[in-house]
Amino acid sequence: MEESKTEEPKKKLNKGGLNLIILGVLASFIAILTTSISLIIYHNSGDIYLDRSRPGFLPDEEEIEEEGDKEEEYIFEKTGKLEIKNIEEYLQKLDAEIKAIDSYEKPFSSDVLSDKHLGISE
Amino acid sequence: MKKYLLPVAVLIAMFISLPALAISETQKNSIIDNCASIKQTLEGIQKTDARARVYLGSYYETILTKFITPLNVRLVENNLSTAELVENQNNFASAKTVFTNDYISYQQNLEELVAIDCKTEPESFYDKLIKVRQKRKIMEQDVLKLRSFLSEHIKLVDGIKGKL
Repeated sequence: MEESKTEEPKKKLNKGGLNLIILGVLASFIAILTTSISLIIYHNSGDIYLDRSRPGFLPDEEEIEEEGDKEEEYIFEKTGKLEIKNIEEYLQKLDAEIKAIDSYEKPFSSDVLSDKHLGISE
Repeated sequence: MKKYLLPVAVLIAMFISLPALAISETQKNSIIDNCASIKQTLEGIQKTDARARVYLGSYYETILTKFITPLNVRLVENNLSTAELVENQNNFASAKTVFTNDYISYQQNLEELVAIDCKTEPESFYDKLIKVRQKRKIMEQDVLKLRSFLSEHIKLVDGIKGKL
């Protein structure tokens, strides 16, 4: 008689434990599912490719040097009377930016993916 | 008339599904033999292109937000704004967005290319390579287009000097 009394709360506890495990598994499943969906969206939207190309993703020596050599930022004033000297300064600063763009040798040039470059015999 | 429709449709479908360019036996063997080194080169290209994207992209962003846009605002304030300059700004901004979107599309295709097993599927690999080449060509054209908008901008700003 006494034995059956002690077994009852034990059974209840076991049932509670089982419910807890089910809840845990369900929560983990939902977490994995939503994370996977988020990653799929992140990949398919293409943001992953932009993030991958950000400086610092694969830091190299060049990048670190560039960061250290940064000059004071120039921003053209949005307000004020416009004079020739402002335009001349503007063109001079803009020219420096454009020269930096031009200094990048052949960005996205076609020959990089040619059969010859990849080592595919024609 | 109706009985000819189906064969014609089948022929059109066959024509569309043909690979863009037939791969020769030499190319096929070469891809199989050099598969590892080709993949290594492609992975190197992925990294170089990522660097080019961020390098050029950051300069385009700087030029648009710290040069072109503030200049146009100031020109409006000084009643010196021209329709050509505003149009040039819009063209540059649109081209910059196109550059980013084309880069995403190019990288997606390049990643799919790297994922193809060139040892077992040399034909699919080469077909995809042709597609990636086309995407890369678009990227090259985007860079040239952005550069031409900058040249045009300089010319237009130079013309303002005469009005001051």
